[in-house]
Amino acid sequence: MSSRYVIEVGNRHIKDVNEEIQAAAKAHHSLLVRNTLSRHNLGIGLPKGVDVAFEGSVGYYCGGLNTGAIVTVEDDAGWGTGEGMDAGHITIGGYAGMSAGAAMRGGTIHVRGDAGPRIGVAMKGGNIIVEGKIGSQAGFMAHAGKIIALGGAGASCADALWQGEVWVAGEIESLGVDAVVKEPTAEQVAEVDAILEPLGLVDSARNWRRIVSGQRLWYFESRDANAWLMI
Amino acid sequence: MCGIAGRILGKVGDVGTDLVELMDAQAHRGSDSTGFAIYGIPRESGFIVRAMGFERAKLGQDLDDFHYILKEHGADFLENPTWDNSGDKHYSVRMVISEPGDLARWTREADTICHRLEVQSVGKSLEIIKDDGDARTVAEKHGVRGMIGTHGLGHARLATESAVRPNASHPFWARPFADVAIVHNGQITDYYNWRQRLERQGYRFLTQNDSELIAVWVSDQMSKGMTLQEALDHSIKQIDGVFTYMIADTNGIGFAKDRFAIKPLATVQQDGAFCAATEEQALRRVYPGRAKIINYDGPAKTGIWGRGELAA
Amino acid sequence: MADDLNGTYHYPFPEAPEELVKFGDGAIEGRPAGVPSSYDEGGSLRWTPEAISEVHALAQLGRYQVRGYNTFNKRFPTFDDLTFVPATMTRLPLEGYRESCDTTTILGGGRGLVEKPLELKIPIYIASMSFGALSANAKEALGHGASKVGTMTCTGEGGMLEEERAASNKLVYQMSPARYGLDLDHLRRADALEIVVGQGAKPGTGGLLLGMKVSPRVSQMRTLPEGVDQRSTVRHPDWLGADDLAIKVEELRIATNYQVPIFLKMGATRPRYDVAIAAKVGVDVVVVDGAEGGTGASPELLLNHTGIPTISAIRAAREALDECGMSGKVSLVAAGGIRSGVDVAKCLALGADAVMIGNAAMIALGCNSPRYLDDYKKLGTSPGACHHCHTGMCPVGVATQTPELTARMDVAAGAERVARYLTAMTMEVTALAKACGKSNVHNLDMEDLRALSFEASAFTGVKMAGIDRAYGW
Repeated sequence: MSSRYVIEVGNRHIKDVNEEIQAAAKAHHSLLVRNTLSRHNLGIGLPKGVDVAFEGSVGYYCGGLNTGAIVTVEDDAGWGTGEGMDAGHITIGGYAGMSAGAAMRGGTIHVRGDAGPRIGVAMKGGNIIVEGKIGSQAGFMAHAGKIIALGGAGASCADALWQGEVWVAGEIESLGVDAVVKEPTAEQVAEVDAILEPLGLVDSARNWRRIVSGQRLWYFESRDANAWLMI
Repeated sequence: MCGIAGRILGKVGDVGTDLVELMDAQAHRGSDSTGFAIYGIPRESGFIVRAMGFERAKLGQDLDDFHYILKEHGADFLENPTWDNSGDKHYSVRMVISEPGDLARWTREADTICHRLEVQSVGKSLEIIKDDGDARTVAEKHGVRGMIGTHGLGHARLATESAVRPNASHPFWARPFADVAIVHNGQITDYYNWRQRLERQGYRFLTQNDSELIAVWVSDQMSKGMTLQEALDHSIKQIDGVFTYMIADTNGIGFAKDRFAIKPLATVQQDGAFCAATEEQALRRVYPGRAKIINYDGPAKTGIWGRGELAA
Repeated sequence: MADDLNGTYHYPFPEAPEELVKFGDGAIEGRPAGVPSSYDEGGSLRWTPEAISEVHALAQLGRYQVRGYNTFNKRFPTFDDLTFVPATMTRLPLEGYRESCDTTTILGGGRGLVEKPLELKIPIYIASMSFGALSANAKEALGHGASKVGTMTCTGEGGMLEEERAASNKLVYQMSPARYGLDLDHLRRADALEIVVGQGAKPGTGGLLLGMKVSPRVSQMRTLPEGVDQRSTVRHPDWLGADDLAIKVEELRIATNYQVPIFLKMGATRPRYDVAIAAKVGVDVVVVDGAEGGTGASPELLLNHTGIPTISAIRAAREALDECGMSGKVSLVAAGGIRSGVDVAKCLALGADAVMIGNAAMIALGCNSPRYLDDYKKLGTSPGACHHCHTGMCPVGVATQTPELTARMDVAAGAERVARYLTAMTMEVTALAKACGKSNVHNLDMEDLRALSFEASAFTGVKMAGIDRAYGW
């Protein structure tokens, strides 16, 4: 596309960079952010309808609170990529640091490399696809949404889930507290394949483990109010 | 709560400048104080001593007393001591001394005047420089950019539970072990228990900073026969809290990360040199172009980056 | 691990029937067996009736007890241990009924970083209490009541309730570790953000909302299964230390376009260090919530046995800000057990820039009011002693999600009571300020106070009554 707007980061104040990104997003469909130098807080609260590519690696919270933008990070991303995002699509070319997709509510995060610990922590919706291995405590206390790891998973996988699901095709180091492996139904596999399909990642030979909450931690003791009348 | 960094060069070079850049990039993680541990060209004999005095007006008296203790242990100044000429009440002094008969015993004696003049590092190549303020301020004041050497550590401090004082900054020397220094990011939650145990063994702590504990703890394990790698592994099981720390000696830098995967560490090994920092964006100061970054985000990790093992 | 103590041990005899474990043999009808009839008769100082009943309760439940309201710990030195020393001969008082006294309170403008610091007409606002802990009617009433007198409310951790947003002229949006319902739109519609790292009632642990209150609407707003016992995370998911928080604060400023102040709320534990760190990482307002602070539900051990008193927390926090040169740049809000304008005035004199009230505002709405007496009785409590926020069976509709009960919480009447209460409190503050010869409530200071107990003096540094010296160390 000829009208790709280019933004230089370098040592500029990150506030100015974000203001320029926001302003450019109003006038252009496609932005290229260059010389990122793994800086933090790049592309916060991006709007719908814009395509933002970050050259090289980014620091913490890139694409945080995204409301619909298509974000591409060429190499690695730091902590909390796409945290709290509502909609949109974030692709990380390399490694995604700790807590990617933390508390996200919708949209998709696609990690081509491995992911650090606590990916999808407290997520409320949306999908996270990791082509490599996911780190420890993946999906810690995830409320909803899916984390799909085509590689393996680190220790304490799917720790203390609410209603989220963690799908792992490779080796799982260990399961987290109250995490239970369930045999996926054909429909559930089809659902996951539908998520992977646009990314060209469907492989029918995968041996999926679908991990959900054992619901042991859901209830302190009882839903019955009388149980709490003691004091 | 802090930012930390480590740097190893393939050969002697501008390690001071690199560390200043690494810490300047992480100044937002804490600017209460900044410090550097720099391993210069090792001396054949004698030690370099870095120390901090707290009352500039009494500098002469402090040095005389220090000198007296030194001579009692069979050593002497090899060069005239030099000090910063800032107007600050506290002062930093650099000394070159011949080797005391027993380093541990001399250190204990020298520490009897630590309330006036505190020894901050002793080594054949190690020099620890630390002071109040951010990386630029400390580097400017002490000429850190001009320091050459093989490797080193850096630290930017956001004070948690101990005072903001120039001597409570990192890095900490693993007294009384020559050429060993640590930097730490995190909090040790069983600090008081460990400190008491080590004090009963005869170790002396000069600050209330929990990080000082790590330096002594690791050195103590090694003095009892553990290798550095074993001590690092052991620390993960033995020390409670959240931490990433790096410990350096003349051979290189080791690190350990707690079992909860809380504190970050990013590294790069390229062109026969090595760099580690809390944040990747700091590494970009040294490697602005393409570089393969390895993040140690996971739980319970340890490792040693040896100076000799860096492939070009 | 101690996480699961129901291991593999088998008794060499049949398990006791539940009825018998629960002291079912010969128990008094209608009285839970954990509460003996000797409850109010006294006895051993060590094994008080309360201590005995606690053992009985734990022995039956096999878990710690959970309840709402605030601490039952009676040993806190309180606001009542301090007294004002108004102007007499050395100073001249202002006319209490005629001369004016400024109560305008500005929060978050000190750094000059944000476009819209908060300007409140009074130094009091409504504390963060979630929709979920409180009914929607209660939240809405608080919003209108606060708006009427020119002050604000705070969402609490349950997300932004549209009724409250509409009712509150100024609304602080709380970003809790669990991030329930957090989205960019809500951040941008807020007048301030509050990052919560702890609360006075239960520092060191996350939010708690028992299943009885996780109604369809609450479960939808929090993306939780209905009826689940919600125990929230204590740590934020994407920053794990004050050093990372500096970066998070920058993100939030960018997200809100540097428009609104950022608060940080903490339980009072080590405020001397915690407040200094919060100020250094870049927030605009620090909220310190003392151990007397209330909650919708908490393990009782945390309510009664954690944290430090509000009066000492304020002093430590103010000294911390002074020491790191942040007084004037960072505002200090105090909370925890504030009941009246007198308490507010004492907070300001000790060094707070503003206070927030939680329990007190609920009580103004009708909490513990002597109505629906049968329902109190069913809970085993009575008006004036009710602490059943946790069961969601609040007889007056304040702390419940049950439709029949929330209907008892009249929004219009509640709003008016809150407005009048805030007005009265403000009058009390100005009355004291003017008696002390001050034309601005923020000019109250430590010299206007004297301590009535050694403890209060030792904990705050306020001079002891009569001898005019602080308790020396």
